[in-house]
Amino acid sequence: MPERLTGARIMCRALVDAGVDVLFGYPGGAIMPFYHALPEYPGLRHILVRHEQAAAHAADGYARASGRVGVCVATSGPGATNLVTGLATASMDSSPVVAITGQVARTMMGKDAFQETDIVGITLPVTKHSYLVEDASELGEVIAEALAIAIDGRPGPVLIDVPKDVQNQEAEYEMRRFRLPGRPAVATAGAQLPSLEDGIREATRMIDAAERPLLMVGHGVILAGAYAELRALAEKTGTPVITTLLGISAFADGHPLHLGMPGMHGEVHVNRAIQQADVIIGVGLRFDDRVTGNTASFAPRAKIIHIDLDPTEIGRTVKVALGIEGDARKVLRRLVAAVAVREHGAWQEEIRGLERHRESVYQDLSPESILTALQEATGGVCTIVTDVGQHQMWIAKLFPYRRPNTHITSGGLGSMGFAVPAAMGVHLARPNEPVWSLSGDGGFQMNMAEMATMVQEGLPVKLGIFNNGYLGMVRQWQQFFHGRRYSCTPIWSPDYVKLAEAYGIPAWRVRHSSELPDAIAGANAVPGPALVEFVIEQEANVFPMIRPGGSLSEPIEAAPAAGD
Amino acid sequence: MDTTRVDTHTVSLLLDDELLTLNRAVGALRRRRVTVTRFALGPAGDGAARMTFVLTADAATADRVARQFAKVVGVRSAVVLAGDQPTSHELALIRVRDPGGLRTELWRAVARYPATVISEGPDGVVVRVAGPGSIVQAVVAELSPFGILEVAQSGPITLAGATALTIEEGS
Repeated sequence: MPERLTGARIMCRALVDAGVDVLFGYPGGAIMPFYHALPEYPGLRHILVRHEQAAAHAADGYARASGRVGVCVATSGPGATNLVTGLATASMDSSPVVAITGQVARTMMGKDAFQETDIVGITLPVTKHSYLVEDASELGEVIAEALAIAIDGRPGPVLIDVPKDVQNQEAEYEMRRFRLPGRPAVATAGAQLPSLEDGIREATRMIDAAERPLLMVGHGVILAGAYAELRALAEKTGTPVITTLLGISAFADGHPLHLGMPGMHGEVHVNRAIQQADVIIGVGLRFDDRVTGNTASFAPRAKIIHIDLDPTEIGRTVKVALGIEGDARKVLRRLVAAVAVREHGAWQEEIRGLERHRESVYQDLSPESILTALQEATGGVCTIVTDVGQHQMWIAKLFPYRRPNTHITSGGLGSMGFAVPAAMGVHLARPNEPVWSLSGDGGFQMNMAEMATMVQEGLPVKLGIFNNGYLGMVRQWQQFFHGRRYSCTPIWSPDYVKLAEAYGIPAWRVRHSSELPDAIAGANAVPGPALVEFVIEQEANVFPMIRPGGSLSEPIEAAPAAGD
Repeated sequence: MDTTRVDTHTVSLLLDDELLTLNRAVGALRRRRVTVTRFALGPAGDGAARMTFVLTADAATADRVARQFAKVVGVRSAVVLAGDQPTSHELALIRVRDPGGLRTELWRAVARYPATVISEGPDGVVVRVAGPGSIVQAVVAELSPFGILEVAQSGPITLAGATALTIEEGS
């Protein structure tokens, strides 16, 4: 039976009916009718953030950890524009987020009314789809459709802009079973991709004939949950596995075939393996510039098989010998059944032979010691959300991820400030296991106001800060490529322990590795949020490094001498 | 087929005739840095619009552009046609200077093409031509000695039947 409800109630009902149970948001004038209705729907838990950017990142973190759509809410104008970085982050990393924004009343639109902004126009390039709802009767269907589109195929953000008077307008509501529109027909004279059957056959032939094969896997494997299939293919064919930044934790660290991260900060033997490989099986990755370096010299001996859900990614940056359009899990399952058993022991040894144990170039409180202590304290049972910069690379390289999808970071957009709010979303998706947000002192200060959200909403996120007093990654580039002119990269921090105290958050400052176990155990033991500041070496660098636009064959393994 | 040779391609999209969908489709051109030389947009019935544009690229890129559009919600079909298609037509209005004593020559030149004079006056003669892009360009070239004052030209419109798709690149 259809019910007659206000637009605002329809919004709430449609969210509940679609299975949404948590919203991250911030009220304001144009979204007030929605917030007025919200208390009538106790199934919708609302997390009041301190800035709308955090709402979008938190919804993104929730989506990545849960595999469900994350929802954020903001008012018109500045509320809506504050979401943009979060939506762009979700768009670049294929994360299903729905943003609901209030808009000025229909009669006021187009007149530069107070807090009016064309948020649909502003977000067009960073959303998968968007709606401006002109009548309350459309709201139920729009919300159901938006949630479905966000997670269908390659996930991404969807925006719903709802004028205030539409929220107040009454209309009939009935739960709809939403059916996605069919895929459009594409016909081109230059069609490149074979059918799935032909693709599997050709890939099998190439994999069976390979002598130095590599698997390179990205976020697509995590989004598809293709962990078992990936492992089965790697083990059956004796193929070492490289995980991109967003592919980390798709394949267990510690597995004999695990190699680690490639690209700009990939280990030397990982990048060398790429340069020596004869067949690369790329699954659910974009071959982006941070992975490939200079594409002209990338994997010069390899025939690349590129498997991706999104055909527009295939062959976009690197030349591929074979493209297969499809879900990672489905395609990998077919490949596992089709390929021959191989060993490739000599090839694996060749790669391992290039591996070298690097003596720590860091002082006592090294990134290694911090991550080892964290691993020991949690037994690996935790999700780590990282920010952007040096700490992000250290963690990507050094933390031994054993469980799937336990590494969450902003990869494509590289949004500093992501970790703290995204970790709140991760906690709500995984309330029964610890969540560590790890940031640098720069990124932490961008969204540290969310400590208040954690206290008010009872979100026990553990906050780790790698404090080196610099915007470290930029400083490293200045050191390597800009003659050590540290222009605007020294960054002052408040006393984080006192700051946390002001929020009522227990905090520890660690200066020596001997203090690590107590601090981390203490933070894990408190029931609510906790903060640990790691005071690390000021000019520690991330090694090795490939010069931007440089070849994977030419790693930088030491800082240039002063005066170079 | 050589997919790396750079050539012109006509892309024809059928999409929801709705401002937001059109806006998103045009935005995709800009965002993906697709350089379009000619562009046409008009209603196609059944709540749809047809957007047609010409780009110069290799076949693989043209293919990817079409697939990029196919990801836009509201796009109903995307077709890439290689080269100059017989089904592809453009319209141009060309105003030339009052020919004075060369009136007969102008009329003769127009008569050699699917073109007509649609107005004549002291501010010049307006010639209308409709046909494949090559014809429109030929008429513009033919009339230039008479002194072209201005040109209003549409982008191409095309109806791609199934048979058109079998036309090989460059044929």
